[in-house]
Amino acid sequence: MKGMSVLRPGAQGRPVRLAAVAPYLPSRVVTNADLVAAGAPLDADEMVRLSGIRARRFAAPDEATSDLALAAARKALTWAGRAATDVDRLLVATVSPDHSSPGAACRTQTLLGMRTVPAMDIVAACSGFLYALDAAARAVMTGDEAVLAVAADVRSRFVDPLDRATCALFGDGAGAALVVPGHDPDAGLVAIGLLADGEGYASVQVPAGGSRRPIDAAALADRAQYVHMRSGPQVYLAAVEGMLGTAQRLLDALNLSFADIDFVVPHQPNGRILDRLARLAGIPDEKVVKIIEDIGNISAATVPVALHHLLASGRVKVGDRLLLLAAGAGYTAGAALLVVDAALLCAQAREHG
Amino acid sequence: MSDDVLVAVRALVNDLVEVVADDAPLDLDSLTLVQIAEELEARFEFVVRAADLTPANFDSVAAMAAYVRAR
Repeated sequence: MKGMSVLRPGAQGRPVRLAAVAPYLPSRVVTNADLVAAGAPLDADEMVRLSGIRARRFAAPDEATSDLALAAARKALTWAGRAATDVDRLLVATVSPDHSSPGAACRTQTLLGMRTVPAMDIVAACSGFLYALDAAARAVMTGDEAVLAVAADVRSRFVDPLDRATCALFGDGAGAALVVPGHDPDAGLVAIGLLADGEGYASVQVPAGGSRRPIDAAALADRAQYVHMRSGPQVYLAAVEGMLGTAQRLLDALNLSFADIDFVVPHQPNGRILDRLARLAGIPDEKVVKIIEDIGNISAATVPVALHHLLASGRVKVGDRLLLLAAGAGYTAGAALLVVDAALLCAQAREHG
Repeated sequence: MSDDVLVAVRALVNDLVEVVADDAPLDLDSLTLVQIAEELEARFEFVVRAADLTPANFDSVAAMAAYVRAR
């Protein structure tokens, strides 16, 4: 991990906070036994041993990424008490857009009823939400009053049901955050830092379907339209290195340590990765938010869905420091410090009326 | 000292897969490879880097012992 610059909205200019965070998960539950019945080359217990995953959600046949993004964004706006017409910019982080062109954000924008403000996709794999959050924070710092940072993926359409390395890992889902100006430089999104290391470009990849290799008969014969993982063990270690490396740099920039963090909200590619992350960082297990067992790896949507899960748990109070961490294909990685403010907790309480 | 490392690595690996000879290639599945890497970390108190998880360092007991000595 080479140098990482840290954006500190409140210290560098206009404070930034999250007005609401909302998830959307498709209703169809797919268990390990369901995957086995569909021909998966490992049994249900092996799936649990390898990944810590017991079930995941799959989008319905007529659902695509923009539909998931739309559902999460609608909830975030409702909980924040804002209208779609208030939003100045829409960012959708995804590696599984409805179509390779145009971006899923444009469909989401029109279905939400937004004005003709900028709407674009961000491609940063499982780090996508943090990349969107960084871009949203920069937009708010330079004048936007409300930015939707959404992460949505329907990875199930890109998973080879016969691939031992990946068939059990992925699920579908979305998470959305409404990013707005804050008042307190020490609350809300206090700091965020991102990294990319293209040395890992081929490690986790969908080989066909882009300009490098169109999908043709040979690609289909190679099953190259699906996500491929070159070396699971290396990716396993690299994911932890990415999250720990960005976390340490962010904490160093803020003169903080892991002991100062109340909860860690990490990307969740594999349950064993979370155990390794906690062990190497010296973080007590109960401080690490884990949702992977029931929903699998939902790619870019993992961090906002896990953040919502934590905020809804009743364990968080005003002033708590939350460390959001992600690492993904590319390689990409990111870390952010979110200090919980009262307005966010009030907005989240609207989930229950 | 070096022999101690080899003996310890052999014992650790032998608990998970059969070791025919120290320089014999091991047929490790991904879970076992990760398990061995993490047990080496615990036993010898260092962290295995992703870039180090290569056949050159992990395809036999002798290779693993050489890797541990180099760390």
